[in-house]
Amino acid sequence: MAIVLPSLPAVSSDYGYTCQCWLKTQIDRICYVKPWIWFSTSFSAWSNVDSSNPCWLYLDLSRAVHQKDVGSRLIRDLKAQMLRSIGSSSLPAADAHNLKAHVTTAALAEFRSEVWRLDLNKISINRGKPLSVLKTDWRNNAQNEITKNPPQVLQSDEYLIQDLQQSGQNVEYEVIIEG
Amino acid sequence: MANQFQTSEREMYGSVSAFYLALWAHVDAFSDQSRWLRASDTPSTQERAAELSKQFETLQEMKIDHLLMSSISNEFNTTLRLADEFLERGAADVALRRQVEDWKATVQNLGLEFARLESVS
Repeated sequence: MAIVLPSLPAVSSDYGYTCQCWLKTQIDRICYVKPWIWFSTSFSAWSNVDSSNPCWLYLDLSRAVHQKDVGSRLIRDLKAQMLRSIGSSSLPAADAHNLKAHVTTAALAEFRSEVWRLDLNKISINRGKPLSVLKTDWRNNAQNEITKNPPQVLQSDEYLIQDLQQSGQNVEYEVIIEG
Repeated sequence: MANQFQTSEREMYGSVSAFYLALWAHVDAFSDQSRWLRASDTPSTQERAAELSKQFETLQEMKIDHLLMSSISNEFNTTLRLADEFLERGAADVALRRQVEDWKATVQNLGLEFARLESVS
């Protein structure tokens, strides 16, 4: 009996992937009601520029943390971004000072990378909206933000979700890789 | 008295740090580089430039050493000039893009260093 040759299935585009920094996630949740999350539907989004590719961001951040590379550009960008978020928040001055001091002196381990997976079908069901509509919305969010600041370029696999549920009973992501 | 001095010194470092990081963010907003690190909206170029001017005026009203203030003023003007040049011909001019990247690193370093000084004062 002849064997059935394996046929390569299509890669699902019903998941979203993003790489986040543990400390930045904590700071963002203090500074914003719903921190924005940028994602792609492929983990290895090589059609995007490196900075919009979760796989590249994960490699870059994980390497910097494990090799204790304090001078890493990504680590410095993360610090700068966190300090900006704290500075523009409405936190009381003393809290803002303490948070900024924490970011400035945080151990590199706190910059631990996390890969998040967003189950887009589950989000669609939870929100009672077709996934195609939501994807168009998330794509438009990204496009609108990028259009405001030329010459930034929207990447082929790039989405922006501005209201991801990140806590409570209906958390809309799971951490699939830590560190 | 010592506490009052400490507070004003801390405020000064904090304001200078915030200004340098705003200079960095102004130029950084032109590139795709750290878009995925942004958790909220980025104001338009004009809005950012207006905010920078406001922050610069606030710094001028603070008691900041005149040498430092003069340096801040130069760096403010350089940032605005580079941002304008980048908007005009950044897409085609590789040397200018490199210059802007170097400048971003410079003002970011200053912002992070003043943040460190704020945290220890």
